This record gives sequence, C-alpha cells and structure tokens, in this order.
Amino acid sequence: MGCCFGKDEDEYSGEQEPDERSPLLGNQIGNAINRPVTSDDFESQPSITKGDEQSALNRILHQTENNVIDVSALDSHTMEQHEYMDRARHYSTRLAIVGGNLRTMRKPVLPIGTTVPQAVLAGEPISIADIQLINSAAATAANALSNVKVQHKEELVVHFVIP
Amino acid sequence: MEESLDKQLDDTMNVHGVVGVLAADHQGLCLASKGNAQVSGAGLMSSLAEAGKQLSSDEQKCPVVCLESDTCNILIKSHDNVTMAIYKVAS
Repeated sequence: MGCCFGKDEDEYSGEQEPDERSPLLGNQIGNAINRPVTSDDFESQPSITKGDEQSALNRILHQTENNVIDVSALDSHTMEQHEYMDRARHYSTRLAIVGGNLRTMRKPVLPIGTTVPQAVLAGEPISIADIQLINSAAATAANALSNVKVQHKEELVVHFVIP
Repeated sequence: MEESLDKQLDDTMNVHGVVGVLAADHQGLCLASKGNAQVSGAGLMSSLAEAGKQLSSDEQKCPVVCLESDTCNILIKSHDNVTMAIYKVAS
C-alpha cells in the first residue's frame, strides 16, 4: 500500500489504468504546494554526498517548507500582496464617498467656531442683559417644569375577566 | 402642564436677537426646542452646564456658560435640574 512518502507509488504513477492504488493527486505534479515528496526529489541533489552538508540541510528545509501547506498563514500571505493594496485603495475611495455624504447629511450640533479667536478674546464679555436673560429663562423653565405632573388617564394594569 | 414651559420658550424666542432656545433635563433629555436649536444638542448642553457646576463649591450656584462663534452665541445655564440654552445673535 503506497503512502505520500513511500517509494511504492512511483511504479503506479505511470500511464496505467486508474485502480484503487492510483494516487488521487498524481496529476498535480506541477503544483509545488500539493506535490508529495518523492524519492526523486532527494536523488536529484548531488550536494548531499559531496557538497556542503549545511547547504544540503538548508535545501531540504526549504523544500520541506514548499511542500508543507500552512493553512493559518495562507490567508495573510495572499492578503499581503497586491490584493491587500487593492482592497485598501478600494475601501478608502468608498469611505471617502460615503463619508462625504454622511457629513453633508448631518448638521453640526454646534456652530462653527470663530476664525479670529484673538478678536473674540479681546472683545467685550457678554452683556449683563444676556446673563439676566438666561438666568430668568432658566428659573422660569425650572418653575414651569415643576408644575408638570403625569396624569393617569387610563389604568396601567388591566384585569382580565376570567369566566 | 407643559403649556407653561412652551409659552415660556415662546416668550424667550420673542426677545430681540434670540434665534433658538432649548430646554433639557439634567440627564440630557431634550424637553423642548424652538428655532435653530437642535434636539441632538441637548446632551451636550446639559453636560456643559454640569461641568460648569463643578467650578463652584456651592452646588446651588451654576455659572452661565457662553459659547461664542461668528454666527451666534449660545448661553447655557442649569437651574434645578433643568438646563436652558439660548442661541442669540452676537450684538
């Protein structure tokens, strides 16, 4: 029975008729991510026996990295390329359009401040008449509100007549 | 009932230079508004008045807060849990 790393699958990877031993991913040899590691990969490395051992180990490590599918890093890896920049540009343009509409839809609660603050600071403070106006208005409003009473016009609790 | 508060706001609106009035409770709920005053500004007016109260050690004394701008001045004062805001054109 062959497995992903077994040598047995080599003899079944030819042009035979597909049977129960045919590898399901046999046609994806060109895909570096899904390609299983076979013995051919290591036989084609002459540096293992005669080259620098460290470079050979690095090559094996690099090859293993290519063969391992890191699912957790798959999305972020693809997003960090051109797609990320495209999305950021798309979102910023959409936000500029929608944000401009939102800003025009809602009126500001407070009026826009002064453009010449030094003139306002150097000017006269508010008049005594204005202070008297707001004082009397606040006192009258508080007095008027104190007379507001809740009038119960109908029963809050309704009794159902159960026969 | 609320007719007296409504009449009082109308009287304030008739004062020369006043372009809007607003009454809110101490929690920022708008009780009434007329003229240029926006209902959504009730919470802001109430919190400004509450912040002004903290300037004085006497809790009964609430100072008059005045927001000055090029278009109008906003006079804010709190009295017995009622905050009044008067939008008045700068004279």
